Amino acid sequence: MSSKLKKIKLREYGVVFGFVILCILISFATPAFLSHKNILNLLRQSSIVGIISAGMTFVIISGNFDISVGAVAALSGAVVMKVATTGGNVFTGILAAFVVCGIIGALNGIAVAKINIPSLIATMAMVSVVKGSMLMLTGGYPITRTFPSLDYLGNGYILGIPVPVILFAVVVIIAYIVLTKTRFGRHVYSVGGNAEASKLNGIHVDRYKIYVFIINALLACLAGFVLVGRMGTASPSAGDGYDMDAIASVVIGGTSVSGGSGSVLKTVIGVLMMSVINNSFNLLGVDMYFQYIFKGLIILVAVGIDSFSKRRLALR
Amino acid sequence: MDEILKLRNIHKSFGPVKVLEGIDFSIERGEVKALLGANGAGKSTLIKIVGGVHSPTDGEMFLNGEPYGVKNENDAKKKGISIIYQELSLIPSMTVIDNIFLGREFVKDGFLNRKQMNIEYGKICEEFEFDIDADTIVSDLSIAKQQMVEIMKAISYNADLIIMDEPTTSLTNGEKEGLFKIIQKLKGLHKSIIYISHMLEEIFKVCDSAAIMRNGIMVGSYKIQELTKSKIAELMTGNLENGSIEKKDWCYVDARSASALETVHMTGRKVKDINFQVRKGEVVGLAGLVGSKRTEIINLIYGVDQMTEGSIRMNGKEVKIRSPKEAIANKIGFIPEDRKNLGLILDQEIYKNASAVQLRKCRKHGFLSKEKEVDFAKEGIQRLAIKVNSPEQQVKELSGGNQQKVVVSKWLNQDLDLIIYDEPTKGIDIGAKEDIFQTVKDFAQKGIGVIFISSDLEEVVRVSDRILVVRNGAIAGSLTAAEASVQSIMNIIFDV
Repeated sequence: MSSKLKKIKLREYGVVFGFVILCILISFATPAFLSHKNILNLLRQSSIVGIISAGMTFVIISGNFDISVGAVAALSGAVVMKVATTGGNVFTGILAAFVVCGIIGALNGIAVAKINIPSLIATMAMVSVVKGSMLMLTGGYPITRTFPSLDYLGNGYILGIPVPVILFAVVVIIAYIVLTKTRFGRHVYSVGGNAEASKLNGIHVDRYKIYVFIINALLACLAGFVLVGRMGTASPSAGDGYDMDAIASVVIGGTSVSGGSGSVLKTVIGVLMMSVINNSFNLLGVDMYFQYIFKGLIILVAVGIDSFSKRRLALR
Repeated sequence: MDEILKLRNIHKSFGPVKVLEGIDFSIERGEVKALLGANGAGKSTLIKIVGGVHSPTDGEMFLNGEPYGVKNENDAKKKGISIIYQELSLIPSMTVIDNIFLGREFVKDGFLNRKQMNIEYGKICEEFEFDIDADTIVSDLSIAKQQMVEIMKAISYNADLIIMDEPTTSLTNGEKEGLFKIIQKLKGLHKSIIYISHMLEEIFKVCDSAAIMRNGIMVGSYKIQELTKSKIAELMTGNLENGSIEKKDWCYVDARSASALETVHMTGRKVKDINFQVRKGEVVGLAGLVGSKRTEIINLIYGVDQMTEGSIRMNGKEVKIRSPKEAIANKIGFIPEDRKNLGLILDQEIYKNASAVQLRKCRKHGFLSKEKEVDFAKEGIQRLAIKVNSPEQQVKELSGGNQQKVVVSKWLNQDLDLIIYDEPTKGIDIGAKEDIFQTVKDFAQKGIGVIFISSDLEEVVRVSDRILVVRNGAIAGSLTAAEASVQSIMNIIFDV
C-alpha cells in the first residue's frame, strides 16, 4: 500500500521535481537566470499564457479542448481598441469584449454539449469564425493607440510586481478555490471523469460543459486585454500560438487529457516550465527553431507519461 | 398490507415493439423481493420505469399509496427510490467520498463542507461495516470494491426502496456475504429491496419472495418457500426441460485422444506452475471464484500476458505465443469475458464482426469482398440461430445473448485445435445459453479441445468432461465428469 502511495505521489509531483531540477541546472549554466530582473520578466512573460491556461484547465478537466482561445484573446483586444477608438472608452470596450467573448464561449459550449460536436472540431471552426469577424472589424489593419489604462494592465507595476503577474496570480487563486472548494468545481471533475455517471447523479452535464467554455473564453478575453496593453496595438494575429501553449502547459503540468483529474496548480507549474525553457534557451542562445522541436518533444513526453501510467494502472 | 410500491397494468412500447404488457407488481415495506426473468423479459425496462429513466405508455404507479409520477433519475431518488445499476455509475477519477456525495454535496457558505461529509461517511461506514478509505481514488479499487462503493452510495441516499440490478456479478464470496448482511440490516430498518440476479442461490438466500417475468408479462409473484430452482426455471422459460441441471449426454474424448494443448510449469505474473492438458474433443472446465485468476491463466495461453516460466505445447509441439495474433496462428480461438469491449466492435455491422479473424478468407482479387463476409456471417447466423434483421445490422442493436453468438460465430469456420470460452453466459438468457452450450458440443464433436470458464458452477459441471479447480492462481484440484458436482467443486475451493 505504501509503495503504491509513493508511486502515485511521484506521479503527482514528478513535474515539480523536474521543474526544480531544471531551474537549478539552468541557474548554473547561466547565472543571469536567477537575477531579479530576469525572474520578473519570466513571470510577466508567463502571465498571458498563464491566464489562458487557467481557463483551459477547466475545459480539459471537463474532458474537452478549446483551440479557439488564441483567436478569442486577439479578438478581445481588437474589440477594446475598436470601441475605445470609435467613440467609446476603454471601460465600455472591456465590457463589450467580455460580452462578445462570453457569447463565443457559450457557442463553443453549446456546439459541444448540445450538438455533440467533438470539442477540437467545434473550436477549430470557431477559430475561423472569430478570425474572420476580427478581420471584418478591423478591416485587416492593426489598431494602434496608447491608452493609459490598458498600458497599465500590460506594463504597470504594483509594489514592484508587474500587473499581469498579479492578474495571473489572482486568476489562479480563484480558479483553485472554485475547482477544489466548491460544488461547481467538483461537478466539473465528475463531468470529465464520467459524463454518463454524472447524469445518473443528477448533474446537468450539458450545462457544465457550456460553463467551462464560457469561463475559458472570458479568461482568454482577460488575457487579451493584457496582450493589447503590452503591445499597444491590436492585431488579428496577436493571439496565434497561445491556444497551443495553453494546452501544452496544462498537459505538461500533469492534468490528464482524458479529463476528470488535474489541478490549476499543476497548470501553473506547466506554464512556468514552458517559460523557463523558452527563457533559458534565449539566455543560452539556442536556435529559435530548435525551441519549437524541443517544446513538441516535451509535450509528447508529458502526455506519454500520463498515458503510460494509466495503462500500467489498467494492467494491475 | 403496507405496500411501498404498487404498479398496476403497466404497459410500455418502444415504437411498435411492446416490451411490457400489463405488468402488476407490488412490494411491501421491509420486503426483499427478487425480480426474475430471462434477458428480454422486461426486467430492466420495468426498473427503468420505476427509476424515472423511461415513462410508461400506460398504467398506474403508487408509492406509499399515493399516485407516483417520476420525471428523471434524480426525481426518483428524491422520492426515496435508489437504484444500483449493473453498469457502475461511479466517476473513476474521483475519491470514494466524493463519489458517494456526488450531486448532493454538503455546502456551507458556498463552499464544500468536507467536515460534514466526512462525518456522514463515517456514520454509514460504521452502521454497515464498510471499511473503504474515504480518500481512495475509485479507479485504484478492485471492481468488487467499486461495486461495494456503489452499494454504499445507494444506501447513503437513505432510500425507502433500493433496487439492486445484478449487484453481485463481480463480488467475491466474502463480499457477497457482506452484501447479504447489509440487506438483512436494511430489512430491519423497514427498507424494501428489489433484487435482480441470475444467481438463484442468492435469491433463495436473501429474498422473501420473487416476481417472475416472461416476455413482457408478469407470470406471477411467489413466496420464496413455494419455489425451487427448477420451478423458477420452469416459470421463467415456460419449459421444464430447459431448466433441468442434467449433465451433458455426449462425450467426444477418450484415453486415446491426442493432446491439443499442454501447459508445462506455466507461470506468469499472477499464476504459478500451471500444468494441465486438453485433449482433442475434450471439454475442460476451469472453475473457481472470481479473483481466483482463471482469466489470467487463459491470458497466458492466448498471449495477452507473457509467461515468465514454463511452456505451452500444441499438438505435442512446443510453441511460443507472445500475442493473440500468434495464438490464432497456432489455431487457438478465444471468446472473451467482456464481449462488449473485447469480443465485439459494437458500432460495426454483424458481418464485419463475424469475419474479423478470417479476413484472409474473405478476399476476392486481393480486396475484401463484402459478399464473402456477408455469406460467412449468414452461415453463422443460421447455425447459431442468431436473431437479427440482416447481417448488416449493427451489433450493438442485438440482445446480449445474440451478441455473444456473434462472437462465437467468428470461430465457426476456423481451423482450430483449441477454443477458450471465458464466461460466455454472463448476463444472457437461458435460451441463448442453450445455444452457446450447443456450440461447445459442435466444437468438441469436430475434435477441437475446449476450455470452458464460468462462474456458474452448475454450467461448468454440465458441459465439462473434466474440471480443474483454480484457487489463488494455481490449480487446486481436478475432477472427472463423474465426480463433478457443485458441492465437490466448492469442497476443493474451500479446501474442505
